[in-house]
Amino acid sequence: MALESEISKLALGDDDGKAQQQPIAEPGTELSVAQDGDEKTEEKKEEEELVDPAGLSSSFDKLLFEYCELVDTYQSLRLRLSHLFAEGFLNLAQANYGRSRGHFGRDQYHGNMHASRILELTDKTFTPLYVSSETNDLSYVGLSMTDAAVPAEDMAELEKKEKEKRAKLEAAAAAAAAAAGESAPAEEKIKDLKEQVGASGADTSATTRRRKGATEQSKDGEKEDDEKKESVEKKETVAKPKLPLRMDPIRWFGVLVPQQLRLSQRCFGEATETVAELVSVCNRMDALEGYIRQVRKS
Amino acid sequence: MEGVFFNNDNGYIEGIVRGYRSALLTGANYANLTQCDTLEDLKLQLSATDYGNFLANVPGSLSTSIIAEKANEKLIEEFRYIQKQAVQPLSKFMDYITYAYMIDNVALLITGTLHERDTHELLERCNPLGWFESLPALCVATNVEELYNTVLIDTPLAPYFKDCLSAADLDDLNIEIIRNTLYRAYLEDFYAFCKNLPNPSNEIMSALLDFEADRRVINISLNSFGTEITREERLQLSPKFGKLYSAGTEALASADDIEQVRLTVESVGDYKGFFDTSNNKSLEDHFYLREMELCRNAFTQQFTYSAIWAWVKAKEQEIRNITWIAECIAQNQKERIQNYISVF
Repeated sequence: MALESEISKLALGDDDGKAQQQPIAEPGTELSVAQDGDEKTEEKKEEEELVDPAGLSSSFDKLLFEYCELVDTYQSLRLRLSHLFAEGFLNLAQANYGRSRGHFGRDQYHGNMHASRILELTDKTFTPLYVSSETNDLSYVGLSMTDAAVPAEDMAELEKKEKEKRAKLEAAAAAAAAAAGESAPAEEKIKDLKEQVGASGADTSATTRRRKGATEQSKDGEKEDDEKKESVEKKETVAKPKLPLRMDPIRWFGVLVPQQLRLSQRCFGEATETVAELVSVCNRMDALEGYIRQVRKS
Repeated sequence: MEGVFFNNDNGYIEGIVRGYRSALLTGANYANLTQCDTLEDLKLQLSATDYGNFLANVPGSLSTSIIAEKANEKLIEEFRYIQKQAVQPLSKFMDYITYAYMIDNVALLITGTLHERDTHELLERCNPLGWFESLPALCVATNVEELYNTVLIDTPLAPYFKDCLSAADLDDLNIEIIRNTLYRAYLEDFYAFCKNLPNPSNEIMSALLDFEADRRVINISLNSFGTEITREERLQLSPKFGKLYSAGTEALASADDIEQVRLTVESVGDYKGFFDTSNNKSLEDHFYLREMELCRNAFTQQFTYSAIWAWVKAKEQEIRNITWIAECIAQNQKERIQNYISVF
């Protein structure tokens, strides 16, 4: 009800915003606040979805319509946020329940942690919808989350480790080829592996699968082609670059973490994105509100 | 004949442990706890049980972590009391129980060093049951060899390190592997020790440790999907005993998805219903339920050392249950509150 009274204040002007508010007599509008009788509100709420903004009489109504749409977005984002937080905490509690020793908590934090996502504030503009183009653009501050850049010294270390792994991989492939004693398919294997290693860059999980593939291929010759194809496919689907430890929180809690902890991480990650969207929508609403007040005065 | 001389050395201790066992929370106690609306109510309900006033001196407001911590302190106090009265071979048995906590503490401190934390603050977070003299010296190690030669060689964990010695640096993957390899060596050693205990301790402990080993193998397999752990490493972390050994452990080491794991696990009759997720029961819930059933059965035999192991496990489960109920109350998620395990 608080939001509806805000909207009505905006529509009718703050000086009128006292207890007695006359609902606007147009049947198809959702702007009126029914102080009396919930039926009217419900009827109007049902008719809400059928309102065609182009059919509204004044441009002022169209601005208010857009404001209401923003309020609706805000409310649904809020609901989503509370749902995500509840899920996140519940999954965390479940992960703790399953763990026989100790809880996931502060003890495992990295002392030198570095953010992996950054909030960016950008100046944006938008034109009010449904209104003719003579209006000026309204500006507001939009928020969005982006991946943070890996710091230079961590990048250097990651590349060093990657080189070491590549060297190990090539050594393993060469050893496997020597053991198998087949020169032609072995060379093909090594070339294939070198290509994959060159292309994948920082992807170490695919490297491990190929390492598995290499040792198994030397044992059963018939399955060779199938496994190679499989490992190539797997490499193509897994393309995320590896983050240094201090930017990758899930690894702080061990390598074999329960699935619920990963779920919890996902929920909280989405929640922070939702917060950014929420504040953006709020800012947009503020800008539109300022414009509406301006229009009302003139 | 074993019963005749058992009471000489261990009669008092068994009596105390059975007293502790009868003070474990029952289904009715848990039902009362789930009816609580706030953590203060929970504290009130717990004061009517054997826990008494364990939360009496808590400064500030209650939280679930404080409740869990205080409950743990009570367990540790009771354990220490029994440990002080024990003589061989029971004292060796109880030492074996503490080695598991020692491994956890070692892992915590090494991980703390890797995470560039001040390890002295982590020392307070170590489990007291796993304390040993040279624990604070662990903070200085940077690789496994140094770790072994300077610190661990004088501790009871020394023989478990022989499979982990390599010049590899301590990064997160290696720490996890070291920790699980240590635990595997410890389980195998404990299993061998239990086989030499007089009957029926040896049978009951074998059954309990078999289940522990199987559970570890299944968890390692499931949690290593999507990580860098290879098949050989998975095999290296699997104990060489248990109902799933050896065909099952090999299959689980090579498994790539949950279906393969399920097929392998269900080949053992006792584990048939484990992947059944109806009634909101997860795999972990099934594991805990089975462990508690085995513990409850362990108490039915007299003159055994396994009563102590069973009591420790049952008490830990009780603490987990109370923590879960407290979390559900604190987060206002009463629908999930029935997910605890109660067999007594």
